[in-house]
Amino acid sequence: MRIDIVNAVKTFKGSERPAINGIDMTVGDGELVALLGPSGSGKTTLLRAIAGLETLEAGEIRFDGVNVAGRDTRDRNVGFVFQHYALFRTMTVLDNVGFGLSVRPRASRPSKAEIRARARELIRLVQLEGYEERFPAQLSGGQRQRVALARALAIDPAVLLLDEPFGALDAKVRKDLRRWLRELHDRTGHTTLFVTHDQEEALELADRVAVINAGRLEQIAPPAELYARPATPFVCEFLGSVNRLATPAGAVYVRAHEIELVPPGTPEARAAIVVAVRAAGPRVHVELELAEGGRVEAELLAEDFAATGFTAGSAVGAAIRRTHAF
Amino acid sequence: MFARAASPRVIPGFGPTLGFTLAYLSLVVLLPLAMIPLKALGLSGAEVLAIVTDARTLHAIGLSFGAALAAAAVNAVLGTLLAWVLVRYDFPARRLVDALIDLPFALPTAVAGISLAALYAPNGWIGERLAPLGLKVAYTPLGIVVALIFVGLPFVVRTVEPVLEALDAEVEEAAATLGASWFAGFRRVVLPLIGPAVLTGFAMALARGIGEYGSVIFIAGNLPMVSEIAPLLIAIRLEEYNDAAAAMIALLMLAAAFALLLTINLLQAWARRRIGG
Repeated sequence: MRIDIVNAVKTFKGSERPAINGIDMTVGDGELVALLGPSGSGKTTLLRAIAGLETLEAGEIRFDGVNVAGRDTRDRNVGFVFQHYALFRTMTVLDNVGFGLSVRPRASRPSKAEIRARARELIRLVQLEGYEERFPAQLSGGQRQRVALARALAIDPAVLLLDEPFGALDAKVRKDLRRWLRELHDRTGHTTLFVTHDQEEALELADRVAVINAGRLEQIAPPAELYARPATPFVCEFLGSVNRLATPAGAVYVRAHEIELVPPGTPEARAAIVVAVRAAGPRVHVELELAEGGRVEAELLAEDFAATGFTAGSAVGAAIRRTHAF
Repeated sequence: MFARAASPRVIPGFGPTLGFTLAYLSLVVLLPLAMIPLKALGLSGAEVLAIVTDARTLHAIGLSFGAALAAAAVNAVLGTLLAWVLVRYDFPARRLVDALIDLPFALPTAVAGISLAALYAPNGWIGERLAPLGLKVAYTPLGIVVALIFVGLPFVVRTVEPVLEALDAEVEEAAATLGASWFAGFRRVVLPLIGPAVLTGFAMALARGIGEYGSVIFIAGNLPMVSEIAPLLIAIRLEEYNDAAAAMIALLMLAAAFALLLTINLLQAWARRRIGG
């Protein structure tokens, strides 16, 4: 299903600044889109507004062209996965997953056996066979997340909305679940929106990434384009580690890995002194003091840095391969 | 058994503190309770039988328990709703409403009784409006229930409120996104979680209702066989210097109250096991 968000505005009571302030965007049928932004940027509010958990004060949300902004959550047929799962802890995994079907009006409610069969099928889909009779308290974080996902999928939602789906999990589980979610999406083809503050997660997982800042949409683009051609300084600074250089023509932005270390005096390179070297696994962060003033950070492979022979205190040349200007 | 720790412990004085606790408990709780059967022991078998089968006594005890049960049941529903509203919504007079709920706790019961009697009497503010409908509240068992609802309300609200507060609103939202109506979400998701707390509130309101005296006697009218409650009957027997009969009625009430609370506790243990703590 296609979702159009048209000039959405929402201000919370008691707050002066709108949480979302005129957002326009479209999510295509079957697309997987990430809402990326710092905390407090309004991305979760937007997701909740699509689900009908928040009411917009202006603007429209269209599902396949039909404005649903005034429609109750219960009638929107959205699958929502909460950051802290919000599982029903008095129910087993099976009953959690079957809940959406079991509360349907009598006329459209499947029989008990059908509900159980459907729930089992989804439990198999999220790879939790054998856990049907467990209670949420007896599951790990990653397993709970998958139960929440199965529960949301059980109502055969028109759109799947995930709020920081991996936010509360440790790094290893996060990575596994991320890949798994991508595969699941490719198999089931639900139109999916997920909120994250983790740029790596957004870039790796999504078809397109919407960068949101201070209630506004900065840019929506496929990950590669977002990275290569950021539309605003915010997008540029938010993705990857970026240096801001003051030039007579205004500020330009340089990505850390786009600064090359060359012998001092190389033409076109700026004279600099290595101030500090920090190793981070396979990569090294090198802090440089430019002769013209200001500090920048360069990032390169540890072995490449070792090959240059520079250490803290060395005079070097900083060759800037690429800049972004706005 | 009671593991007198061989190694020094951080928490001091197990012996003296346990001793004090037991002594205090005996003096304040057990001793008075023991006096009831002792007093009743002075009666012969025939006398006991006469009191136990006395229609007036049985009616009074039945009324006390029946009215308290009805009031506690009403409070369990209304109190839960009230707690839910107080926790989930922020409205202008919320703080005031919140404070008002405690009033029945603080109010001397006689004050409550007089004001309720004045309100519900046939010429009272509410009473005169109910009279044309054929509803008599004051001086009937219904009046007793009204008084007990009044004094018992805070028990349910105050026990359910913190549990609801700890309950994430996300769980209710999750039920809504899955298509559950408010009622279905409340019944299937929220109620199982707050059930034990509601039951606790119910039990406390019930216990208070069974023994309530001050707020009831003014509105009840106290007609034997109609609206005479057991605590009042005990007082009457004492005034007649019939200590043994008073003690016997008290013993009956004690036994019934004990059985009731035991049942509720068992129910609660069962409910707790079901939701896994």
